[in-house]
Amino acid sequence: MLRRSKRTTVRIAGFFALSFAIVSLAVGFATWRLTTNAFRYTIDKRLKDELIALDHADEEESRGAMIADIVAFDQIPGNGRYLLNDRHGRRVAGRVAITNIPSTIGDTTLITQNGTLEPARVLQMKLHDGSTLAVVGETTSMRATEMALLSIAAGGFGLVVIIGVAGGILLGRGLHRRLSQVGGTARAIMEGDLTRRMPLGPNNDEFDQLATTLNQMLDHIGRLMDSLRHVSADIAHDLRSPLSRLRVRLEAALDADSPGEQRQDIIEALARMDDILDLFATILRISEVEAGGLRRSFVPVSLVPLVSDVIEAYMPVAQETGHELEFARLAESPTIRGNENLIGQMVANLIENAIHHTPAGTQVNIRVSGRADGGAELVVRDNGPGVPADQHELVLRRFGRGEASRTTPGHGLGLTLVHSIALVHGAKLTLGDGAPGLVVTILFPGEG
Amino acid sequence: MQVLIIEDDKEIAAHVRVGLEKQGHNVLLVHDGREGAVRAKDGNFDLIILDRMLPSLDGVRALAEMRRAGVGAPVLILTARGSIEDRVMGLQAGADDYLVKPFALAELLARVEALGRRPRVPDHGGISVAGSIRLDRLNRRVTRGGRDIPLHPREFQILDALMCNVGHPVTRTMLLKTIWQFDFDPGTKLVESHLSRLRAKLDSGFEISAIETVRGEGYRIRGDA
Repeated sequence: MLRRSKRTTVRIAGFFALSFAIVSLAVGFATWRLTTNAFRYTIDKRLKDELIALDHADEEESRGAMIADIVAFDQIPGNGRYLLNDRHGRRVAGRVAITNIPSTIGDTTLITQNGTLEPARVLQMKLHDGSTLAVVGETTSMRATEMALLSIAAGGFGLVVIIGVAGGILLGRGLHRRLSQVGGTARAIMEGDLTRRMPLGPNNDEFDQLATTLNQMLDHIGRLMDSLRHVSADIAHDLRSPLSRLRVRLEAALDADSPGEQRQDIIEALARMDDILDLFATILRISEVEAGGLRRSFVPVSLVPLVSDVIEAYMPVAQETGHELEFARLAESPTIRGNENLIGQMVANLIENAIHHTPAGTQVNIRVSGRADGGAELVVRDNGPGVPADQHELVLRRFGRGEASRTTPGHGLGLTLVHSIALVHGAKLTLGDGAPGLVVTILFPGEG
Repeated sequence: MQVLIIEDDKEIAAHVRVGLEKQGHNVLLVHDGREGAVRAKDGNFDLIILDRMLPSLDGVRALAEMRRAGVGAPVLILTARGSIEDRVMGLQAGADDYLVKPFALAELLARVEALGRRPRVPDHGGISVAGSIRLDRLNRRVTRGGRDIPLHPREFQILDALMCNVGHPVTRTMLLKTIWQFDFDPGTKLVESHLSRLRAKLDSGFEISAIETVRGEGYRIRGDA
């Protein structure tokens, strides 16, 4: 693990240094090239202009006038600039001394008065009588500037490479440090310290955000594991009672005085058995729903007829238990994507829940309405004793029973199943206070 | 009826066979999927009971093979795999009914009766008669002893289901499935409540109760009430 990230560091450092080096090299070279070209151009232009001026003097006035110009200039202290040779190559005027004269404009070496050699530029022109006139421009200062530019470029280049490498190394090290922190924490968690969380820095940068997300995931996993532990304990606990009742019945059957009595006991035992199997079926259905695979077979479901059917099925039951069942629906039936069987079961559970946990005389209202975004809202409200707000989360959990219902028959999974079915449909379930009573609201999302 | 059972769990298979034979059916028991498919194609059975988890050939594949070979007998799948997806897959493969283990033998027997009788339900112009009760499907009318008995649509459906199986019990689960399309068991006595309303309407003024509750089995219309 360590070796690989070291290589990443080197790679990052190398990559940055190389990019910076290439870019600064290119820029430096271009600048130097452009500058020297500009210098040369300036000098060459000046030389040309001077030659033209002298030639003009020669043509318009006389050779003598030109020579006079040359001589006058030669009076100025310095190395001289001009050289006039006759057509045989003998010097006629001008005192500048150079080593060679290229046929066109070009570089040459100037021999100074002190005898030193310096770089220069020379341009030569043939006059109409065969003589040649050359003008020399000193390029020492130009050269000096060029060299200075080159040094700066080289120095800059070197600096850039160093900074690039250093920056790359620092960046690589920083990455390595943050990554190994995450890795270290993960290993500690896997080794058993489930309370560890990823460390956060002060900057809230991308690493911190990643760490925060990972921590949220770890919290979620922690909750799932707790819930799993709870559920296993709860299932075992909740199964004990019906199983022991079953056993009691079978023992009674064994001790029965008459075949008739025995038959009765066995029938009762079978009924207890069915209760337990029903519990299992509900647990399995909750698992199946939560797994989410059923989404693949969703179809459009028209809510009003479906809810209406379920309510109508429960009318006789409600009558017998003394409950008033009311359905408020709007003219338009909203349609949502889902599984008809599951939604039916959800509504049935809610109605049963309301009937079971409220006394006779309670009113139960069910309402279905469409929403602006194409979704739907299902509300089941009763005016019974309700569920205190601090127990809302409890009753949705597996086997969670409110205080008031702890002793009533039933397995406490009804609302859990309702919640799972809501979730798989992407719907949001909320419990509210009906003041008095419980209000269960399920919000189905619209398409898209 | 001639019944073929394809089930590898020997205890359950024996239990079912005994139950069926008591009802007067002839049973052939096979424990293997491939052999079962062969027997189904060769024999001429009135009903096939098929398990999904079978050695050598999976139940659903065996069923598909049987259907392809032209076996038209009703098939009841008996299986421990009870998820919604499994049920749908089984029915799509060509099964007529799906019963999840563990099951009550009475439930299985009632369903077997219902399935086996299906192609032979007499439909004399849409009218069923059982004792003094006359149910007219076309006009949606029920009379008992000549007297008109107004029923809610659901009550009519329940009576219709019972009348189609005169003399035989119809289980709660069967009613839930066919009348309300509920594939779950509602906790409260939903079916009972509807039945008692139906009974109240049917029996008022008559001495004999037309609908019997067979404990542990279901509801049955008496043929002589």
